[in-house]
Amino acid sequence: MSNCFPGWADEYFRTYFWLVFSLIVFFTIILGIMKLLPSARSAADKVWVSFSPWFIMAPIIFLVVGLGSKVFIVFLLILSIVSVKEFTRATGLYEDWGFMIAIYAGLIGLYTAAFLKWYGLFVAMPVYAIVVVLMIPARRNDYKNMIQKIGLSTIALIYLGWFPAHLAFLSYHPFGIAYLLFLVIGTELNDAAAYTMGKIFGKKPLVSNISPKKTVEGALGSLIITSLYVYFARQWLPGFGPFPLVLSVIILWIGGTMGDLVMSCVKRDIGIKDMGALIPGHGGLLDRVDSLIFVSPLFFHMVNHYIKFPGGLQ
Amino acid sequence: MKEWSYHPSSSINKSVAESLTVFPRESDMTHTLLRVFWNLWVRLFLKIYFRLSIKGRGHLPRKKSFVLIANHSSHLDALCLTAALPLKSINRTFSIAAKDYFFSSFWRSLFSAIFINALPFDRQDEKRESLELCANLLKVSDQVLLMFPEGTRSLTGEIQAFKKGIGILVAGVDRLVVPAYIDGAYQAWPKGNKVPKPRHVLVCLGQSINFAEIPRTEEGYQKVAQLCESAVRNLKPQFK
Repeated sequence: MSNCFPGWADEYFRTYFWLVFSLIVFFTIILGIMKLLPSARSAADKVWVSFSPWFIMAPIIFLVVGLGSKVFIVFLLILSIVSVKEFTRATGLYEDWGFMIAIYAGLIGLYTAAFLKWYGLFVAMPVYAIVVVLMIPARRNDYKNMIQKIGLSTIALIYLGWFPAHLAFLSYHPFGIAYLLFLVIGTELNDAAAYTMGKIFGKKPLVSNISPKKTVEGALGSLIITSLYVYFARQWLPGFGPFPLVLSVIILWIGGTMGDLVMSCVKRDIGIKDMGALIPGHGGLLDRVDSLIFVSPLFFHMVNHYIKFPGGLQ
Repeated sequence: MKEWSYHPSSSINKSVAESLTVFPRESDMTHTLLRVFWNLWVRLFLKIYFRLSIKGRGHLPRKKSFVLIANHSSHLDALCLTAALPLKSINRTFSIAAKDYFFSSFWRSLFSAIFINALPFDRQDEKRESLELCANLLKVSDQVLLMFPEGTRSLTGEIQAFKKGIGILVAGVDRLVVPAYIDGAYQAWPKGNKVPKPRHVLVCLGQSINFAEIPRTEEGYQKVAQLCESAVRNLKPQFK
């Protein structure tokens, strides 16, 4: 099996796989039992809508991570392109082909640098991409709405392209598979915990104007769950000392919560509810990966600083 | 500080399948590119396989919207008519297509929306709304609307009576209609056949007609339909 699927040879991959597998089986059973009880049936049906996409999303994540860095980077590129498409369609920038071509070219440049494992170029690429974007008004001899278009393009390039692209470099680490799976599972768990805890104990709104559904209780609950997760996952995080573990909790918790709020803020400002309708029960892709986008560069730099890449990144 | 104005796409919260049936269609770079490639291949194929030839290209109006009408006996018809138009206008060319057939499944919708650039015409429940959609389209300059006024493919290859829909669209308003006659498409690919046969196909474009003088009444609509039918029929002898 490990011949055609390299990920399976990695012991951490197998550990995280069984962890997610048992979590999904566990919650499926719980929801199944809830469906049998007449009093909890409607609640179970509601949760099922957002839970069932995981039957597809979880295998995809394990598949692309397990197939090695190159496949994973191509997958990330597609993810970034879809996110950018959703973001620009929501803001209206999508109609301007010149900016869209520049953004897509920038994204391809970014991921090419990651594909070549060329860290120097990867760090420089946002500069080149933004230089191209800044030249568009001069090329067209037009100034109308240009600040807005350049601003939106910069968000698309840096936040939706460059931020998640750091995961590509994380995958080059000898323990990349373990770190990646830890990070993805951690952010999703943090999200789910905040949602569930908020549903059960939530009273006080966290930031009422941006996201009325987020509560202080939910945020604190997710801190507890995330701490427990990191505590139990410490043995599956080779090279992590106590300090990086504490940092991981902070990154997962603050980053995960903030990532959600950033996208909520964008949606509120535009005046839409979801970024798209790609994933039933979740909204668009961007509604699902918002936390991961926020967390990836933070986690990558933490790894780069405290755990270090053998030989360093050039 | 001046407020920014956002223009979210109208189909933002629709699934891919749903957004395909939305019309007017959102301009999409990928779709446009695919459409251009598709049309290039179709033109090459029609030229080689059916020896497609086109007469009367000079009759096509420039910089003005118009309705292109023709006889309908085969699925090749729309492809041949599109091939008769300049390639740069294909993203402004819309084929009126029956919603219940061309948008009946996800894959059909995908094909119709991206490659054919079809306008979903609801011929059952929302005829009036669909005609309204067509009329609005023609108000914008430089648009082309492909229409088969017979309503459906002819089973015998003979031209059937034109329906009054074309009349409702153009009677009493300053809009151009270009008649076209397609010859050989029935022999090449009649309704019901799976594989098209290599036969000569010819498209003959006629002079544009304006029906601004005809009143917007029931009789007026019928008259426009009859006039259009005879205009298409009159193009036929030019082949023989």
